[in-house]
Amino acid sequence: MIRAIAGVTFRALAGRRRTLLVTLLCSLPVLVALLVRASGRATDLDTVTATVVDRLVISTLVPLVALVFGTSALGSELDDGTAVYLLAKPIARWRIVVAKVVVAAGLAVIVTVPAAFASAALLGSGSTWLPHALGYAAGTAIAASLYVMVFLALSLVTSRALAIGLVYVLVWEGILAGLFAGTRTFSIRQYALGVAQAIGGPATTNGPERLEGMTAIALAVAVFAIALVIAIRRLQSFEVGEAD
Amino acid sequence: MTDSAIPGWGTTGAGPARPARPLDPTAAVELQDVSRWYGNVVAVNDISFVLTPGITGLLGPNGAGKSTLLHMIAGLLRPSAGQVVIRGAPAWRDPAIYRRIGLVPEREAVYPFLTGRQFALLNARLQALPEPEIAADRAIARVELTDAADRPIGTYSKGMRQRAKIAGALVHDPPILLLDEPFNGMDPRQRLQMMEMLREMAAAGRTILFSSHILEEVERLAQNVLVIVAGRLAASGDFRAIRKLMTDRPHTFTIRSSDDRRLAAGLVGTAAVYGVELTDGRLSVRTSDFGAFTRALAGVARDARLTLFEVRPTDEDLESVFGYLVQR
Repeated sequence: MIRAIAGVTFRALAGRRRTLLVTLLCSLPVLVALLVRASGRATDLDTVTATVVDRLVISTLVPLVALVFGTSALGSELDDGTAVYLLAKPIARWRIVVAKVVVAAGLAVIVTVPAAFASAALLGSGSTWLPHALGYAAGTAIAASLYVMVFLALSLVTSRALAIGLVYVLVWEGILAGLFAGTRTFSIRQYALGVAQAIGGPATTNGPERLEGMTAIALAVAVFAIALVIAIRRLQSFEVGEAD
Repeated sequence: MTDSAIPGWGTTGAGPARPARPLDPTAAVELQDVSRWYGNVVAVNDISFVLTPGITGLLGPNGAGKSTLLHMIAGLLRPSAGQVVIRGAPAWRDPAIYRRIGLVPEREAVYPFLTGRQFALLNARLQALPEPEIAADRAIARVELTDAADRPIGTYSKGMRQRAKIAGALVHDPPILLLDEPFNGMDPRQRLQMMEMLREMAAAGRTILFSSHILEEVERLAQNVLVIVAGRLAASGDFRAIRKLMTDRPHTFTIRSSDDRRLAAGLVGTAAVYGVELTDGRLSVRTSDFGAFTRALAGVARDARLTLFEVRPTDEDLESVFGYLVQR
């Protein structure tokens, strides 16, 4: 049953145009990394790595990709009415949510993690390239799954999930989290960077001090669980057919 | 979206307290004092009925609350007051009811990338049927979609898409079938086919409820009818009785003939006619008995050797028919 839902979700999400767009987006940081290496002018590679992977991958690419997959996995079906074919079935609603999250988060991880790993590996040097790349890959995987979960829950709470998600990413994480250290406790991006650094990412920081690895993971797990519960509860009492 | 924090369904705190009648646990579908409002707007107002096997038509003008009612029966919308019960169990928040219900929603969107067969198969798998492939093929054959079954639904015509939706709803052979405006977008031939299919399914003992804003569709298909106007149940029961109520109401006709003045004079003496008016060269006649008037009119015209060019009911639109039923 979950497999059937996952299958149709995968086909809906991995449409030709969306896949092409996301793939192009994800190749961008890799291209930038290649250009930096080719130019040979970068002296402080750790700072460059931090800039490309932090800014481009974890802070921009991952939330955008997750926003696309997270808000459309269930949200667009609820909007166009096809969700009825899943809802009007003898299936516990939590199974529908789980199937949707697994597919959407899986897709987001599959497209973003290689981009993070590849660009970090290209920019790395000597013995540090592998731990850097692994750290960023892990941070990216956590960020992608968590963003997808939060945006999917958001799409069940409001029909303007895309706009609100964008504001969260740009305003809260982009501006406020850089100014006030306190906001990092409520920033998916900061969890990801905390994990990345704990595993082996470069210690260079831009913005507030990194969260400690275990704290970051604990916070990420807690936020994921809360978003999951909210999503399931919303879907259990979701009402269809209000517009008569 | 309404606040989901309000727990469940029920009559508590909504409307005047009423002694709850015992529900009939054997009824396929039962509604008891069901209302639904959105903010201050009442979409469905205090409706009660029991659905029995056979075809029931849910008739009403657009925006009368038909979809809201169907969605409440389908467990997809929480009644603001009252209860909707499927075989003794409340419909809201109970996915188990979908083993008994097949739902054909009005909205057209179906996964466009799936073929008809894949869509039926998806429904069969979601129903956890033991042999989903066989059930899907059977449903596809049932709606006569076999030839197009392996084409993506995105390429289907409106009528084919409708049949694909019905195949999806039939795949688990449900005893209750709910269809929201099923004939929309179908050509006359497809409409006949579909009616025939629904009749066969009703004959096999299923409980079928379909909504329509077209009187003629309901007339041709449903033994029982629920007329809903502005959220209220305006009439319910045997279709012929309601049709008689509708036809025996006062009618006004506009008539053009070779000599309106002589026709008017002839009609004044007729029993079925209680008002004749000739203004601006247009003859309008009021009658209370549709059948008797149409017969009398032909006789008067023949006796006076007149030619009738046009006989047009002036208030025959559905709104006025419904309006009349509500006033009664």
